Amino acid sequence: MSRVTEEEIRSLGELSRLALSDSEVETLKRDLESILEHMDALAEVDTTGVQPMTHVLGTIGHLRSDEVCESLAVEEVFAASPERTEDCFDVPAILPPGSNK
Amino acid sequence: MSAMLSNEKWEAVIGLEVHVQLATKSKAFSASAVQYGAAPNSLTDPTVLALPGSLPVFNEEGLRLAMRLGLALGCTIAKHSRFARKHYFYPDQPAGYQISQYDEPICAGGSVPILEDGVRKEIALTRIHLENDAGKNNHAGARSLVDLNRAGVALCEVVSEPVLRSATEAADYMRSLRQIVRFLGVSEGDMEKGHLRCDANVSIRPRGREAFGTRTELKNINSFKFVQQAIEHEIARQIRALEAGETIVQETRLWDADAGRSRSMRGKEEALDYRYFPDPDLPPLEVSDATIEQIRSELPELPLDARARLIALGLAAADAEQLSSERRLLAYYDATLASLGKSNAKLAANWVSGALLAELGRLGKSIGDSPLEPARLAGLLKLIADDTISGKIAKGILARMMESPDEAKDIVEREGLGQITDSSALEAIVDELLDNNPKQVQGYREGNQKLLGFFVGQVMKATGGKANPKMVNQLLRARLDT
Amino acid sequence: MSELLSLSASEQARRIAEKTVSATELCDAYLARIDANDADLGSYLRVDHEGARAQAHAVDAAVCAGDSVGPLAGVPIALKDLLVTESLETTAGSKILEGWVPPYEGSVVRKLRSAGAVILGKLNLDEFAMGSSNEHSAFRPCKNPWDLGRVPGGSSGGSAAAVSASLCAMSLGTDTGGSIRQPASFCGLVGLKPTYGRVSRHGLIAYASSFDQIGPLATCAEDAALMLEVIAGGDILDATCSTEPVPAYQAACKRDVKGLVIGIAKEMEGEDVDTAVSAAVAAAIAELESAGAEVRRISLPHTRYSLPTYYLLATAEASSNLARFDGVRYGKRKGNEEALQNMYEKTRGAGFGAEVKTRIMLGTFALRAGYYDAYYKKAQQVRTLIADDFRKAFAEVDVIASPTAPTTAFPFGAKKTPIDMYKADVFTLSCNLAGLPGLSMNCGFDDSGMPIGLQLLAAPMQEETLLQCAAAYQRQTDWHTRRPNFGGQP
Repeated sequence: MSRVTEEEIRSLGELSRLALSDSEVETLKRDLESILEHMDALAEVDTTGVQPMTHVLGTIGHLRSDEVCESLAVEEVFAASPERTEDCFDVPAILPPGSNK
Repeated sequence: MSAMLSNEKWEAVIGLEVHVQLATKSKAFSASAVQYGAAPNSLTDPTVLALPGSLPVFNEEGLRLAMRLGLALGCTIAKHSRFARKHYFYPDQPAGYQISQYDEPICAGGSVPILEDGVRKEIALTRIHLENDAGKNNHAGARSLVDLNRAGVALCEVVSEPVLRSATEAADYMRSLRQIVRFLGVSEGDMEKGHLRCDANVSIRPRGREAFGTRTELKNINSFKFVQQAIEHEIARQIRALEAGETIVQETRLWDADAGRSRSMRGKEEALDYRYFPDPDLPPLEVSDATIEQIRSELPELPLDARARLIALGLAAADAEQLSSERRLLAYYDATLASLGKSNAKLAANWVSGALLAELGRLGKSIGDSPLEPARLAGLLKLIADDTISGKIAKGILARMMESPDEAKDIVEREGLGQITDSSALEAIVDELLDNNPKQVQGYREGNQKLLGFFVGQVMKATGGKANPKMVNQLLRARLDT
Repeated sequence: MSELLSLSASEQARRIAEKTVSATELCDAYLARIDANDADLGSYLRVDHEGARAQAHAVDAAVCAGDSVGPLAGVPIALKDLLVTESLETTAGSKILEGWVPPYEGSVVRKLRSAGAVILGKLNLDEFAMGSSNEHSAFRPCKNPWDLGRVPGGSSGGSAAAVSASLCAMSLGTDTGGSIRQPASFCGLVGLKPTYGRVSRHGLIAYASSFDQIGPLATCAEDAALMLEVIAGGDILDATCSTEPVPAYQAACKRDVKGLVIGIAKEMEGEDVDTAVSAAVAAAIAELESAGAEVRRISLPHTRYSLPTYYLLATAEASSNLARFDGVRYGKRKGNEEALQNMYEKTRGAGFGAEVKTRIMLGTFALRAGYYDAYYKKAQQVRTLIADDFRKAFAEVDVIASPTAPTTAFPFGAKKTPIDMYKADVFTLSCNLAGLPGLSMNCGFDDSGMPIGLQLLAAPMQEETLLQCAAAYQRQTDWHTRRPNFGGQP
């Protein structure tokens, strides 16, 4: 059953922010289709009234108290950053709202 | 303006989403400090930067503050709530997702009270949920510069039902909410610092129709003025469009305060799909009944409740409103009244909201750090109430009490500032005055009643302001009118 | 090669504490063996000669001064390169993170350091722990020391290969769907995946947050117990980490298995399992039976849905966890001069390998509006059913035994499609879905001389039972003492 179109793969790529070559699109389409076929098995399980498990073992989590710890030094913050300007992360312009690219 | 005329035909339907910055010391999910105006990227930690391997752990104070707000507004507190991830790529969103409560928020229902022509009206809420803030992008030509100091700050989003009907009502709602969060200490509520940020959903429909029209979302309206202007503008725009036979497009519009108009953000985020799912790093928030009751028991009286109480004590609406506008001011007033007695509620109101605030203003101090404590002020006011001193003398004493720990009674005694209520002493002064001013006496007796003021003034001058004005009046009339 | 390297980690720790061996001597012996042999194996991505020697010196100084030292004092270990180490490059096996030197220490690494462990370096893995063979490492493949033509398993392939080849005394791996147990099986080791929440995930670069756990790979049960005692326990930096007290795991290794009930699930056998594997597993169970355990047949009806359930949920979480690799704050950036969307797409397109992209795409697919209920939520519901199966089973039995993997280590390139590769994890996934502790240990060899793994699962927080079984088995057998003929046997 072919249910993943090339267009869908490209749109998933955009949503995931992944540049994909044509051959990658082709491979991904094939692989996702075959993986999704295996996923179909789940449809046969009767899950009526079954709670979705969002946290394993009903984990009881803890909270932290509102205490301040020392911040990372600015040099540590930027140690690995690809581009830095005036102690800010420098990125290509975020399009001003309203303008189309 | 045609929109104004058309308002008789059209009704606006407005819902507000207000992001309130919670007054926590550290971030929502990690321990770097929350502080306004710090050097760029100086308030970060591995979680704020979304470094690989870092994890979020929720700040218990954020939970307490959200519950405090929820309980104050009559919301139902969820004993089980949880965080979800809301995904979108943006440089100010380090993890690629915002942590936000989605299908199970901490608070449901409740309402924010506003005053409409002096009458209390409840604006229903849908929910209040917890989330973290994004960083800040500064646009510089072809580049954007990102400061993540604000990223991860704890917010709660207060979502109203679409029950507001005018821009004014929306602005009133926002003001009331700000006052309440400040009263509760849930937020510093400083608009300048962006502690309250508002998005509005606006639609219009013909009056009398129940179905909603197509709505637009207005973003970036972060002051009371802009809330009012932007919504007014949007209502007018929609009316114009519909009356011109156009249709309203469901879209997000950005308010441009400088231009005084909104712009469509269409085209920018057409492929938005947030892909919410429960955040596996954050186990559900479980809250016990005991915790809820504990927080409920610590709630203060809210501004509009205090206002009603003060009016019942006999205060003018304006005074009641001023005194209930801020928690510490109200506390000061109530403490003063506790020493002074409720029968002097108006006297205390006049002095707290008048002379005391003026004096504090002169000293550059706020009510919270007033050097004159409520009990000592009450001591001063007692002397006015029992006619020991005049208001004028009291003002001078008040100014001095700001700078010394003395009680008013002691100052008055030590310096003999008590009013002259001994009629024989006053009679002597009056007699001397009349003897020395025969012309004015003549004038008064010939019908120039205004001269009474002259005589009162002269007596007050002669006594250094200590004469009891009522008694002076009586004595003067007794002498002059015979 | 030094005879010291054939000692168990526990024994090394004892000798260092008694001053019969110095930490420096031991550390240098391992470093020399790594330098001489790892080029053929590819288990290390980074060797920290300087750091390791400094730690070893510090241990020796403390021992000489008569100071009390930690339980791992002087024991040379190595870490899967998915664990964040302060000031020591950490890559997750991915190009996108190449060159990243973390400014903070992960909680488990902090615990190791304060226990006195000597950290030799960072170990190879499938990129972001996504793989079952180590073929998805962005840097180089890691090989199986038993046969260099075969994979060591994955994703903690480097962690298994290095211990097996005596290039470290013990290692840490991470297990999301079998990534400790399957390589342990392929390399003939003990690999322990703790209960979800038993060990802090702080500093573990997330693949799938509701599955990931850090655990030890070691040559014997006692060593795994020693390591688990150090790394388990509460952590304020991980909200999902349990604060339950840490039991004396080493003591558990001394108990016998009399009266212990072993369950065998019919869903965890079958025609897809190699006959040699089936036979070795059956023999191992018989061995435990002869030591006093009782065997009972059980059923785990929903575990047959483990594979689709796991791959939907884990990839959904992965698509979210990997969103932070955007080239803004760290990592290699591409397309800096282009529009923002292009910068993102090029950075991620160039930085992630094919398998990572496939999983991000699959996860994004499952979470999309309109698909969530049919895929993600449905899988969460099935996850509940799988966990319920185990809960019922553990009311009757103490451990559940099965093969760790259907086959022994396969040759490079044997798995042609993602699904073929995913099936290598078919017996290990359900453990992570239910959050249970699981252990794999060597229980024999096939005709090609490749190790076979026996998997034992227990109820939540019952790691003691697993270690007790494994230690008892290892007292009766000697499979675990065999070493590959690699780099000159120790």
